[in-house]
Amino acid sequence: MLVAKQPYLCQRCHVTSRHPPTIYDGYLLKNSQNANRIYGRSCVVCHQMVHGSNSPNGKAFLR
Amino acid sequence: MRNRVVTVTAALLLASAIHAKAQTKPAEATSGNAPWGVTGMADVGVRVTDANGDEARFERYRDLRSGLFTNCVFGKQTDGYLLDVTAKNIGYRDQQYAVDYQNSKFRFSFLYDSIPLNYCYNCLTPWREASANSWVLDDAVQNQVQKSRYPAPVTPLPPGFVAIPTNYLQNQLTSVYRAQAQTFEMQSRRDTTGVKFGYDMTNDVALSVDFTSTKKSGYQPFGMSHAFSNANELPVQLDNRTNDFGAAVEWVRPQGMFRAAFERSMFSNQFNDVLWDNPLNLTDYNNGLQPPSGPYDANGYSNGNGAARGRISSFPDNSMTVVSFMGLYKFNRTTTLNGTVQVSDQSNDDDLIPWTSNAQINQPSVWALFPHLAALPRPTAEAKVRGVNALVNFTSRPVRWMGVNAKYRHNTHSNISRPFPYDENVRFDAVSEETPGEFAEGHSVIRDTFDASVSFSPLAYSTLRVGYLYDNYDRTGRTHNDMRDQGMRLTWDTVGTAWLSVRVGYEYIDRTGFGFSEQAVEDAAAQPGLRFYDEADRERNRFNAMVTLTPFQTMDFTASVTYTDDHYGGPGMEFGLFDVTNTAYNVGVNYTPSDHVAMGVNYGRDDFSTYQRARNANPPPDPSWTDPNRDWTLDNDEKVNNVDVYVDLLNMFKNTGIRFAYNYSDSDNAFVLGGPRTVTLFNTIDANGFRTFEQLPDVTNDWQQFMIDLKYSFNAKVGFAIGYFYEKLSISDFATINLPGTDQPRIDYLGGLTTGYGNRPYNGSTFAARLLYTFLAPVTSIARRAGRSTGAAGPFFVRGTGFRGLAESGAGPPRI
Repeated sequence: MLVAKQPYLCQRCHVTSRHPPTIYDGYLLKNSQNANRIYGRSCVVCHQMVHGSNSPNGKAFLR
Repeated sequence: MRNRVVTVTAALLLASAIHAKAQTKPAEATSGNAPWGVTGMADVGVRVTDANGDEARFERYRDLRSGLFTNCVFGKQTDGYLLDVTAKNIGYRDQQYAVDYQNSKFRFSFLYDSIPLNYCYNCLTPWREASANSWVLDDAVQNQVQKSRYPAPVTPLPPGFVAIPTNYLQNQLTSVYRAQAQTFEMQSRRDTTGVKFGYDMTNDVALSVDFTSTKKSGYQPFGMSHAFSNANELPVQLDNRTNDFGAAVEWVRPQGMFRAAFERSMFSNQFNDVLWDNPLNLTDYNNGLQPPSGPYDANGYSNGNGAARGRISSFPDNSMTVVSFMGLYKFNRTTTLNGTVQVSDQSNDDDLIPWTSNAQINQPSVWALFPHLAALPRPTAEAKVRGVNALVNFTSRPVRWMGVNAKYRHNTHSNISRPFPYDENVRFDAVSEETPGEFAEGHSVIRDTFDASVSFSPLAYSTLRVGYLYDNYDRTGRTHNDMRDQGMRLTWDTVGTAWLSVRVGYEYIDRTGFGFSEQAVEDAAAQPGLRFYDEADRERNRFNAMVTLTPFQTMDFTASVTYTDDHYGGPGMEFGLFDVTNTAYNVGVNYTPSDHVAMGVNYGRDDFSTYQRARNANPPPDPSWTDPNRDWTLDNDEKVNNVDVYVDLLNMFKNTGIRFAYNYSDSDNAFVLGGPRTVTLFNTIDANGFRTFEQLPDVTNDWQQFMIDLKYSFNAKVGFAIGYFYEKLSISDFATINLPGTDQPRIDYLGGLTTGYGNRPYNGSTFAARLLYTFLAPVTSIARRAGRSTGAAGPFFVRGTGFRGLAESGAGPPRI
């Protein structure tokens, strides 16, 4: 799991509506604000509310 | 007997580094040339380092700054005690000091170990740390950006500038925050200080007490976001500490042993949260309307019209207490039973951060519509987990040609935290929303594992093993309530002959999920055909073989292959991870023609391949939800090559030792997207004339390291050494964004403002000239390759000393 690259690691499970199953390809990387899910920290740049919160919340994309 | 029992103890318990060190060091001291006396080496000199490119990645977990080089190991052994003292890299961020003392009754160990983690020396950020973990932007620039967005009439930014680019044309412009950004060094450090005391009360009873304190400090890149179009990365400050205390009493008799232990671990973080300014808003967005039309923007989570400052939680304070009992009983010379029982209690009662930092939401007019947002359901986490672990091992060899090994393990992870309801919520500190009936609850697991094997020795030097595995998970909170692995394995080992060693193994494990809930998948807004790969039905086939051939005493050949294939499936599976295949080959040869010469080469090849499937769709009742033409797939294939070469010449020239090593690794990681959806996108042309699908370039890297170390001994005690190593990384990664035509970070790329942290090439070299003073008598024979790590090669190749260790403490070949 640790050697798989994001966002494709995340997409192995997060096959949901809207942005998770978006095809993160070279076009988005160059042309869309969705590029922020491909470069840098990828998905987790937004998902800190899930992955970094000390709230008992955590199973949804919430605080 | 005692040593053997202690070995079992160490295997059964998770020992900390200092524990392990305390147990092994006295044995090292006894391996010197003289039964009593002083051993060790002082290796002190001057180091010069030169690096280019991503210098932080070159250093990564080490501190290679020019200056003093120190690596000193001192040992003393008398008929009354053993003493080892180590000091390495004195005054640097990777310094280490250790003391081990042992006499007939008393043992003492001390360790101080500092390890840096260097992220980047050329990252940039426009945020300033006004106070600890409170990050601010220049108000004038924030105001300029806000006025360019709202309220009407807006004042556009100067031509050629943008706040955060969100499309192709804007991405050709420059962010107004680029000029605000300042370069900084982002690094963190882990400092571990530990002591351990041991006392033998009688010949049979021993006490031990240990305490370890681990501090993390510095900065690390952290993702946080004001909106999907406004992703931010900041250098978050770290200041946390973990204190671990342990005490144990151990009773040992020739027939068995018993151990009782208490452990307490406490984590405390100086920061409960992190605050940071919004690049798009100087003030909380306010459209002047009343709920539900305002004052917030219902699309604020997407367009960035949210709070002026965001807030995220930092790592919570928490603790764990463990009481454990371990026993071992030896029925006779061939049959042993041992077991462990642990009871644990984990707790997190840290303060929760408020629902939002946005004052436009934190007000009565909004609470009238969203009453649950007026206060948190409870002020602290109140999270608790109780655990029970048990392990029983039975080993017997009733007859010479047959043995039995059986193991049972039980784990209960019972989360007794009260559910935390969130009928309403705030996204991104920007939008309040209804989430009726939602709540978070801790997940619990009960796991039982049984593993048994029978070994037969029908031929001399050879053993056939047949094994069976049963592994059952019972849990809450997942789509499958229950999951069961059942498998078998077959191994053949031929070892102990002078010229041949063969190890072959095959393993098959079938995993079946039970109690699947499609509703649970749909509750998470996922496609009903999705199966999570960590609980989906799975077939695993694993094969490994290794052959070592030693045709002459001076030469050995090794070849090995491993193959693992995981295939995921199960009724109704349409999406998710379907296949993972790993294959690795290695061939190597070592040649030691004389006591003075040793050399070898090894080549390895790894292939990784995965296949997954998804659907790009809108939620039902949108027809895309069930449209197979929206399906897309990913083949992720990586190929890695490794080459290692070494040559050791010890005393081939009088009083001279030379070591040479070269290591090479390259990787090509491909992400091949396919499926009908990609075809549709490829055939679609956007307003700028681009096809709306493009394959990503492979992520590639090429890493090499060269090292040479030359030592000359003036006499049995004093020597001189020079060492040089060179390391180079070439890398290409689409996830690392640079300014055009450079290797310098671009922080204002599409949809974000980041620090620019990424994977960039570097090259660097370090040269050191050192004086050596040894306490050992000379030894002229060279160690074979297998013995090199023991340092038993001669006066200037003492364990833990020398230049090679410095080269090996870096990041190594990168995995992207």
